[in-house]
Amino acid sequence: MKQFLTKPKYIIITITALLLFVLLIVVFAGKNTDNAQKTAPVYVEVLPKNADIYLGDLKLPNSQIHQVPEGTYKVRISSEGYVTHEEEMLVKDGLHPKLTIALKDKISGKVDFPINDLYKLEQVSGRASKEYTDAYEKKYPAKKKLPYKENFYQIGYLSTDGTDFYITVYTHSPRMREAAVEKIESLGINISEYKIKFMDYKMPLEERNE
Amino acid sequence: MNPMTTPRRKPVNLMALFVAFVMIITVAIVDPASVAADSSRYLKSNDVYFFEQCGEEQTEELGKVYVLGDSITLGAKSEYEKKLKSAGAKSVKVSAAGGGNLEGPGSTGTKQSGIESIKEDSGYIKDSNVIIIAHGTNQLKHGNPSEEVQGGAIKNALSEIESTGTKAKIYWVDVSITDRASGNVQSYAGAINRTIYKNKDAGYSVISWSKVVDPNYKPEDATGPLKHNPELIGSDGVHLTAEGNTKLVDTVVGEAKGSGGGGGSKSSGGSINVSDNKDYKGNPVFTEEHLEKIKENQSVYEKAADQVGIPWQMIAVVHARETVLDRINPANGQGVYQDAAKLNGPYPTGPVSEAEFLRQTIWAAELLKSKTELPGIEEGDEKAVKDAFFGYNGKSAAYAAQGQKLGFPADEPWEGSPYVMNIADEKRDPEVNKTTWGQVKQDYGQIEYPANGDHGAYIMYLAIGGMGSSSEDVCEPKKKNSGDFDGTLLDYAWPDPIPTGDVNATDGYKEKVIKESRINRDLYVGGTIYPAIDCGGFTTRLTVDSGFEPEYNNSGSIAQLAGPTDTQHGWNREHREKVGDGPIDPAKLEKGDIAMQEGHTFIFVGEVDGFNGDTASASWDERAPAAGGNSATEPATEWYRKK
Repeated sequence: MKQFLTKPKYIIITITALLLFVLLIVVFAGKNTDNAQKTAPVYVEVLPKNADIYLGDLKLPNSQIHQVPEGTYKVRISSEGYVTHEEEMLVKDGLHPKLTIALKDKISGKVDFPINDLYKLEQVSGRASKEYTDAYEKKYPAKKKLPYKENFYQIGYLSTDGTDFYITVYTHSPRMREAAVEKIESLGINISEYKIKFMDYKMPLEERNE
Repeated sequence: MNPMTTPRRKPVNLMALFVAFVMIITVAIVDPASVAADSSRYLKSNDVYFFEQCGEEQTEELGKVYVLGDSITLGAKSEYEKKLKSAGAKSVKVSAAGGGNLEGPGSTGTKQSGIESIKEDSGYIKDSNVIIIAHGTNQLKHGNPSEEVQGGAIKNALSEIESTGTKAKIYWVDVSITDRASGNVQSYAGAINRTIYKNKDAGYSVISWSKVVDPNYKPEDATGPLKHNPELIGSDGVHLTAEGNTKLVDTVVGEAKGSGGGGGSKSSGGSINVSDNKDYKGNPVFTEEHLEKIKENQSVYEKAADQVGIPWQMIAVVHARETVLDRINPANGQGVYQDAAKLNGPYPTGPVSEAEFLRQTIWAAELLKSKTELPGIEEGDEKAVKDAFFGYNGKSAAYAAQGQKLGFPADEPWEGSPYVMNIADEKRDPEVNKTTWGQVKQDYGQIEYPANGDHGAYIMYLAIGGMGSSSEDVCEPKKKNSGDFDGTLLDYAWPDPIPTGDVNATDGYKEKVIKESRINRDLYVGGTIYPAIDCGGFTTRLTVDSGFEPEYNNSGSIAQLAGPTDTQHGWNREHREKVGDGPIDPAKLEKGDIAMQEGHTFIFVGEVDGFNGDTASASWDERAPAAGGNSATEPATEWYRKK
């Protein structure tokens, strides 16, 4: 053993193995920590108030904002005498998803609750939307300067899932694409901070004149 | 280079080949597909500029105008005020009571009967030059529908007007209740119109609004029902759509001015009425920025127009098409007016001097003029102007054939050309006619459907006062608001976003919605602790009260089962067109589009001067109506548009 520890070759192998071990622990520990932190709020306000609310396997109490791990969930809301509601829901930071659902009566097929209960549901829904928008506009300030509509081109914005942001330019004309980009800059938007997507891109038939 | 719109012709010899080449290049540079896609969606806002006609219309003043009516007049009130003033009225007073008639009070507006209003406004009426009466929708007098009894109400009203000592010219607007209205309303509509016409010898002229709604209707006899016109009349068969409000007021103002609109040498497809920078749908043709540029360039257009002998507006249109009204030679070396063959060049890239701009403008004017052999281009003859634009685009036989298929005569081939006539009317509106109104979009290609969304050159020409206003003095562009939506929005909602918890509404919203809802319990406004502080209540009141869509959410009437977001979602599914799901690009949304979520709703307002957000919203009992607060990028949202 002593001989083993004194031989430089073995010492190097041992140290390398130890370093790799530590590194692996750090990497996996870090990953686990990240996963644990990635949650997002889900706003829940469901009628009837005693409905069973499931987000995947998670049973959620009514009338609360819940911090839920990010991911796509199957939602199931049910109550005796009402039509069960099912949907898929993406939970992601910045999205502020909401379960503001009034179940339909099984017999009448209609939503039938006291108006004050319905308005409470609407309040939560409106608040969630406002909080989403406030956070989104803070993250992407260009949103407040768009859309811009011209006779010859139009500039908008779009998101893939509600959390990202890119600027859109609609025109077939190469000349107008250039004009649109100039307009974006003139609106005070730093184009280096945003992706721009040319939605109606079309190669000119004869480029020499463009 | 841009796509072409004219099929190639076989060359006969070298000279013909050269001429054909020049023609093809010329055609190519003016193809509308090169400058935009779907410009009808690119329009900036309801606030538009227009070029006043500098001729006789401007000098013909209406003086003081008094308008008396019911809910129809109330819905068009701001339109009356604006358009009458634009038409030369010194002052305008509108007294209208929703639900009222000549002898019975109403529930909204002045809430007075017509005769009570006449008495109260007698001081104003005394000096008025024009009086417009639009009563009859709720009968002229409640009760017995006989022509004698109803005619008696007319005589009483006229007697009251006469007692003021006025010498005003009096007009009576007849009634448009369509076959969509409820049976009891329809039952008296005919009698009312017969009564209005029979009594005109008592001292008024009748303005036939009913014939605008249904050209086949004969209000003098009123023997049959008036056919429903969904463009102008709402689903209740009585109240007007936003377009109806505009059309009604245009009709009344036209009659009151004695012009009746239109004029000039007409081709068969020329019975379109475009002015004030609007297309037939009331949408602006040019943006504010373009109109400013046109004004800046106008003196140069006029110099060239004077020298060559064409209306200056024709040159402005071609300039807009080619280089968006800039005085810059683009990098392609074809100059400001895109002289593809560079016959008048060279055109070094960059800004051009005033002299060079004039030189190029004169060339463009000469080229335009050379495209027609019809007489009267100097005076802006309609056929000659259209023919010149058609010639500038290559006079494609495919377009001539398209025009004939749509019912236009063979000797007016320009009527089938999208380059000339796109968005002139429903037949030639690619958003309406997607199957028989098309455009050649590829070199040597066939017509593809529908046509693109650019306004035709002739529509652009009219939009800047082309009809009969050749080479007149410069008129200052004036700003006007063409609809109630923007005005009502600014009245009802704060122009900047406000935080959750702020339930203090604007004065306009307090007065016209919150206070009004305490009196009129039929108004759907939402909210409980703070009435009308509610997403669906605000969206409903804005959409209904502005006249944008009076029937929205069951006319915003509790009696008609208006309700919260769930009800509104159902109403949208049934009555509106779904345009997409969130996230959606706001560049593809239109003013008045409504977003529906589970338990929440908000409205897209587009660009409105002085309003800092593309949406407006409120929230139940905790946020008053204000700009923003919502985003088109939000998922789980359905978007609906008025049909």
